Amino acid sequence: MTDAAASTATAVDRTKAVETIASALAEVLGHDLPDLTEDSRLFDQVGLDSSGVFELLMALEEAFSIELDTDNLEMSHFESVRTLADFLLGEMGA
Amino acid sequence: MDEFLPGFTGRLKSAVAGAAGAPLVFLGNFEVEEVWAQGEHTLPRFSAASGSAVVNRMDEFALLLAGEGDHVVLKTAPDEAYLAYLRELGLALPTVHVVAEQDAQRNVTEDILRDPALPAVLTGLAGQGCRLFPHGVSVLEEELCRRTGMEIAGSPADLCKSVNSKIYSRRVADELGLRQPAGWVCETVDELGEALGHARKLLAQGRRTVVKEAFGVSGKGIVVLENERWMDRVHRMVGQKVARSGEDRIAFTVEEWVPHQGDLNYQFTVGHDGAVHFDFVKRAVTEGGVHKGHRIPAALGPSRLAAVRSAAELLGKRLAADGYAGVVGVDALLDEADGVWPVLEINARNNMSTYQVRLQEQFVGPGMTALARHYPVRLERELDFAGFRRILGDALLTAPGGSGLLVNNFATVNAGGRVRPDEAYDGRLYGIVVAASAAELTALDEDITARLVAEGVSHAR
Repeated sequence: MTDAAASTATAVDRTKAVETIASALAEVLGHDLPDLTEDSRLFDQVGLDSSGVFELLMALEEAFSIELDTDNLEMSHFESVRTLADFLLGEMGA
Repeated sequence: MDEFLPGFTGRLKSAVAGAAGAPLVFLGNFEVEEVWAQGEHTLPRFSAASGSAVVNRMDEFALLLAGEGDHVVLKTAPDEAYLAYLRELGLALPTVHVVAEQDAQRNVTEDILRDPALPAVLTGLAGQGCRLFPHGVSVLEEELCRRTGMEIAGSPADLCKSVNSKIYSRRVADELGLRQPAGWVCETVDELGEALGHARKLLAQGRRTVVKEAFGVSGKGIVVLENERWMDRVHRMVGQKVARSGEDRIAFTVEEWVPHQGDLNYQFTVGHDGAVHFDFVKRAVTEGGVHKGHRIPAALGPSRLAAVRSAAELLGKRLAADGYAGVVGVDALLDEADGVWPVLEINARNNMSTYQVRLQEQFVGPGMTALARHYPVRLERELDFAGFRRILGDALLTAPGGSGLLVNNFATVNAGGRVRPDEAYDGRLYGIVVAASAAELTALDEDITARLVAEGVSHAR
């Protein structure tokens, strides 16, 4: 695979990861999130609360058909859509 | 009425310090459970830094439980206009001490322990006979007592932690024959597996179950087990933590999520002499499924009130037998008939309601009704109490005998502003809306919300 092809593949994966996070958040919160961006902060701005974290994890694991190592989870991974996408892509080896 | 008796602070002091006039140093170390839970296996849990900042500023509630002759340590000095408002209401206030440097992510006790001068001040107060009365007793408050020579007015941290455990609650309720939802305590991964087996059977019957961290903050650390995949996942998650840590002991409960009409919170006080005093029962108000506050009085029918009082008496004696002394809050449920589930959770610490009692005694007279709640606010920049007073106008209660909003914490309004100084932040304006009738209460509540929304400091109910 050329560098350009690898870069494109990563970009697509990232786009899919962000879309999947958006969809999972909408499912957990029970409403659409039309203004969501990668910079959106999950707790302060999107409205996720501590009781929604487990549900979000379950939705993401199901969507990606993965099982996350929850011991690796840190508060910083839940800072924003971007940090969560970074974490998920890292866990999936993208 | 729900047999609400005046003189709570004196009764409390008699119970925990032996005399109605005993001087106390109050600390509002809310979410003490976070300290109790340290070292325990938990489910994944995260929250916003701004949310912790607001919780840590709930320390200011202590101002309204303490009285003249008492002391309160706060993370920052209260807003001068807010203090003036409290004096205008005729409230005798304690001496306020403020930490030199507060950190929004630390609770007040942690701030004091890092303070260069306050421990010495507390040592002086200990010499004058003051005792420490925190929101809840953890190892941090014990450390503070060791360093200052001050005694705790209450029980040791390990006993408080143990009594606060949801495992203790289930065992004691079974022992006392108190009705509680089907459930199982889990102190090993195998026990968790067995409990989840029971949960699967309930799920197959269309019934819901939850897994709870035994040392979770009230209302947090709870997962509704929606399906078998989630149950398997919880089991593997906890099993993995145990395998990696080498610490076999876990502390969870699995129990049925029973259908109910509403939530209750009641409080009793256990004295060092074993005497048990029922303080009050409050009924949660929800709107659209979201917790809104507590109604005063709870307006329970006689059979439900009797069941609550009886449970309080039994639990109080049982806790006294274990050596516990202090305030106890219990979460309970109204069932779908005319009964109660009298004990879902025992909290071996003060409750939010504990800090409302003095105001209740002085401002919610016979025939009056009240709603204790918080109004969510969103601010672009810090807004002081004078600003809020202008917004609230005549909806602010300023004298006994009237109707309106009593503000009982102002520090939580601007607490989030220090986390991201250049951004809008969420806060909470805590208060008690007092009215002469249910209709007036609803109108006042709506008026206050409308004023906050109109002035652009709130966007939600």
